[in-house]
Amino acid sequence: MHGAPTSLRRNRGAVIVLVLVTVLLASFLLAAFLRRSGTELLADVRAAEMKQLRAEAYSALETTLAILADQRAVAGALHSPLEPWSDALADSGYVPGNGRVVEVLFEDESGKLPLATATETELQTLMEFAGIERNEAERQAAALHAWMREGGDETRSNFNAPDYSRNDPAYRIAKRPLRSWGELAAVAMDRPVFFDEGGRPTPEFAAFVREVSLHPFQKVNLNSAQAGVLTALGLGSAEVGALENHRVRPKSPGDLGVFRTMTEAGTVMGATVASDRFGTSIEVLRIMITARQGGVAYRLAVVISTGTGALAPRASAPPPQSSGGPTMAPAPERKMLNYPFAVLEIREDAEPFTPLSRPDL
Amino acid sequence: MRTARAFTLIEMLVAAALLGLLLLTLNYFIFSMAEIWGHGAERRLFDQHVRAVTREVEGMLRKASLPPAPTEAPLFAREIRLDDGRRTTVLSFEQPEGSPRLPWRAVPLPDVVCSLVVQEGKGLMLYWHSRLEEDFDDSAPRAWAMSPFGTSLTYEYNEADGATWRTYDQLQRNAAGQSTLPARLRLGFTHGTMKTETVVMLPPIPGPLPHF
Repeated sequence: MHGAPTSLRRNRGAVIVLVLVTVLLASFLLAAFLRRSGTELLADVRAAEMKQLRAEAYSALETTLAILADQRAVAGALHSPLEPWSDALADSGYVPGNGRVVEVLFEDESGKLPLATATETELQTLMEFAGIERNEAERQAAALHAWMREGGDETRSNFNAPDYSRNDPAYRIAKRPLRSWGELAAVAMDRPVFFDEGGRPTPEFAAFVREVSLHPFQKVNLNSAQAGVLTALGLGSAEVGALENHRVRPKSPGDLGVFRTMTEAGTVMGATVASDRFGTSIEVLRIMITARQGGVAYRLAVVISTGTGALAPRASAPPPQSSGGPTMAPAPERKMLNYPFAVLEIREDAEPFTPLSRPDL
Repeated sequence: MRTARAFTLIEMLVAAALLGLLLLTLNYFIFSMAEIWGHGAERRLFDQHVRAVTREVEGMLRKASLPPAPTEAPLFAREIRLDDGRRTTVLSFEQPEGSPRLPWRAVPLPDVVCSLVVQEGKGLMLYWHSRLEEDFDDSAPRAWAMSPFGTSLTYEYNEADGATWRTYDQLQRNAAGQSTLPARLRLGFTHGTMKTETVVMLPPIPGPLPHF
């Protein structure tokens, strides 16, 4: 068998090697170029997509509020997210545009303990339910209660008030209910309970936050309240057990097990349930909307007052005016919409389900 | 007997064409990457910086106007003392929940009052401090440089006819001497010979829901 001469084979081999090396180099440069420019391009595209998703989320919110208003008009009140209206967005024929996907979830804030009106004992009981040891819970509850109350910086006989003036910067107690859970980090605790050394929330933080609401309202909804809240508010184990049994027992089709009146609740839990602390309707509702397109998600969390007992929204302080400084012209009179609900809080790009990596994020 | 043969003309032409194409592509990418990493990088990074700072300002102002912000005056005029001792009245807003992005020495505090200022030689500055700080009323707020390239911050007002825009260096006052809010801010950025301006719409006074 005859082959090509050795010198010719070497030449052909050299050409192939040269071409392969060139192709390899070109591929490397192409990949580097695409990676570099692709990141910048992607950032701009993401920003544009987020704007569209934001509009989609607000559209879904408006539709959801309209459905809730209709439901409230028909039934007189909203009682529980277990009721059929929680799936109403899909049933209403709302179709997100351009291949987007919208998910709406509800959380009954009035099934939690309202922090603004909670007593020190109630806070302590709830902290113990969150897994905090009794003596520690007592100290934490006292510190938190002192932070939120007028005159809370006055030292009590059985509680050494934290000295916030030693901090950098020196600060004073708020003398008002917490406005965010991140603020809890500013409440001096003698041991890290809710945040670890790195400022990350602990499991006790997550457990406590699940059961407490920053929004004020009058009556805790028995349809949503969990054992910790019920116990903190003075119910005995018999009443709490009866309610839990009622929730898990098999029910006939169409029976959601939702109380619509305190009389209905009384037949299950006993007549001793105090109606001045408990109710059967939703006073404050959190609506969590997630709009997705591809790998991009936009989250919107809105808290509304249904107008059946919610107290005045958390007040913000008036704007500060330096002495001698200019005053602000009052806002022009605007025609206000007769909106069906009062919006207490709007949190854009919220992460409501996962523990926060840093306080206040 | 076979004789050793060389490449044919066709083979040589194809090889030359392929090599030329590859070299051309190579040059294209080399020049493109040089533009990214070399000469054009400065402009690109500057534009990125301007966009990021503008988005940050927009985000802070929007957040300040969302519930549970005060319904009457989420944005307001405030006289502050700058770090060079001068006093000036500037657009301010509040972050009721505070912000861990601010350079706190220890624990982030809530009720942070922020003011936007452009200072010569320093750039776009955010002056901030918390109402809970003991010396809130007496001491000057802290300064945080948002952008060293910020060179101007002007206030744009929409005149009564709705079609005319006027730009001012200072917040305007009405006949009663009260400061009035502009409709938008114009931010100017300069780096070397590069100049850019961006416009930030001020959020409307909160109603039942924010406008979008």
